[in-house]
Amino acid sequence: MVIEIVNVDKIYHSEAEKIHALKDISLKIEEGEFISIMGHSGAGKTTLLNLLGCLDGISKGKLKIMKNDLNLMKKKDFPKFRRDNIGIVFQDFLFVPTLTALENVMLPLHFKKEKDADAEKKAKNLLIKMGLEKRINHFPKELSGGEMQRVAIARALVNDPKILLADEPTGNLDTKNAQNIFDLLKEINAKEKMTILVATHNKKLGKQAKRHIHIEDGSIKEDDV
Amino acid sequence: MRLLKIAYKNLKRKKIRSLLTIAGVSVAVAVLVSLLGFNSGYQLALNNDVDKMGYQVLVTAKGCPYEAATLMLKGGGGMRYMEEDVYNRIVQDERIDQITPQLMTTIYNAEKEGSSGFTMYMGILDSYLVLKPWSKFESGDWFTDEDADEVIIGYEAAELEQREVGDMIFIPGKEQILKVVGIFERTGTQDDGVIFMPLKSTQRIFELPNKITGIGIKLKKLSDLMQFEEDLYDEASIQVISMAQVKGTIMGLISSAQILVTSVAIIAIFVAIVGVINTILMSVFERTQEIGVMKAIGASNLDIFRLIWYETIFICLIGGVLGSVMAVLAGNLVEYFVKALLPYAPAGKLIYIDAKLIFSTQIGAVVLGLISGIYPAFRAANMRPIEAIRSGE
Repeated sequence: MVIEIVNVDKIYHSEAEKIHALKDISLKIEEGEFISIMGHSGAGKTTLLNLLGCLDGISKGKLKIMKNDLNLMKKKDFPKFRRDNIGIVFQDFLFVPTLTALENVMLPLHFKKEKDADAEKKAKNLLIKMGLEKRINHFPKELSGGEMQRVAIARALVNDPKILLADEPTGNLDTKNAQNIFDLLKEINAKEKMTILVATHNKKLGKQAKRHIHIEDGSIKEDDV
Repeated sequence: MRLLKIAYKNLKRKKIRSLLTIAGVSVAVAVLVSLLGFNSGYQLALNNDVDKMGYQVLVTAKGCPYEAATLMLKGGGGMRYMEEDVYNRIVQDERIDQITPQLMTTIYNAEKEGSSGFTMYMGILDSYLVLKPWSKFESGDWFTDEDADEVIIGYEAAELEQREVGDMIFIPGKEQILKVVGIFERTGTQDDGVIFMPLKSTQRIFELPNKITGIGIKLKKLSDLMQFEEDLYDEASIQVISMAQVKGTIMGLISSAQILVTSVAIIAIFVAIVGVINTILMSVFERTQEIGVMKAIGASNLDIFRLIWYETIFICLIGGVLGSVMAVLAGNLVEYFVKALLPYAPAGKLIYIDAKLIFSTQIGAVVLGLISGIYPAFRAANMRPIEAIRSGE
């Protein structure tokens, strides 16, 4: 089992109120699964992905990733754990604008202290696989939305993660590009046997995943395989 | 790709802001380099001036020791006169190795403009050259007679007066014409601007019979200096000034100027530090989401800390280099203003900037960067990735 979530709650405390973002979530995810997490805006999709990406902590329950209990893990160990096991794709791409596509993809390898030459070779190969060989030395602002999301996926994959988390990866794309990106994720899942979780509010795309989890008001309403 | 490269590219993102911050650091560094260069340069020039006087003790007529010290360095003695008998008494002392009397006087020529209108004349004996063995003749030779109407001109005075050996020179107000018999080589001291005459001729022409303004003394043993000075304190009409005192007095005179400039330098450095912190902090706040993403894709707190620290070090290092270049290039201009402000400015370069100073200033600039970068780097390193990413939503 790659991910085990047991009775997890996530509560945000603001000055005025207490927001129960996730309520009593329990999930078991096996290696190589391709899961879409669907739901309306504010349903809790991103919160769930943030917990799985070790970007945020749970309020209650138990969360195990690759048999590591995150409750027991030290805070300072999270960056390394993320580097080694998890790739994250954001809806807004979130690149360093002063770096080229190649340099942005090289960043995670740099933080992993890989040699420049090795990192460059690996990042370049990945970008070529994504069909971006002519865009390698372009800056983010010079890329189209589809190209930017491919670069973002390459950045998430460059560390050979066990789990890929994609938060609304098609949210900023037109229908054709959205389908292309989703096809790319399906292809990666099929070829690499990588566990992929995609948060989306696009039902048409979400239904293409092998397993769909529907979240509503912080609770799982549906879990179809 | 190194963090250094990312840091460098980040600075290029807001070019004007980075350049202005670098300019602030440059000005602070330029002030600092000039000040430190002035401190060592002034000391060196003063030591050179005092050492090249050739004697350890100067006896002058009683008066303000500060005035005497300054006037002495400007040309050999205070403008108060004492009787030549004092010289005749002191010269008997067995502890003395060399001794020379001097009569210093200044004439103003209204036809010349500004400070160049003043000409210094000094009556000397041949013992003067024994005390100053580095005073060599560029051309010509010593006076033919101890009461001759002749002059030997310092290097710069000869250039100013445009005189050569064999030419005649006119003393305004005294209606006296003297023959140039020698021109000294450049010594790098105030002597370069003086016109030397035989002591007796000076006393006669300037109507100062048996008067002198100073007596330069070199002792056989330096250890006798204290006792020698003490013995001369009994002479009612004179004061004894040791060279060590002269240095101390003049350094004391310029200390207030140094305190002022040091204060300006400290303020400039403080302003530069605040400027750097402000710039880097603004840059960190603007890049909050980016920093969050870096953490999300694997950057540790230390990676982020180093990235921000490198940016501040870049700014300070570039500012340090530019500031040093500015200090070197503007050195002559600063020296011109400093000389105008000081009560006494020794001959030679007052601002001495060497490789050691430049190197230590660069180290200082890096330290400035390290200090300025601590807070912004700490803020960036301790951002929680999720909150940082959300900040852009």
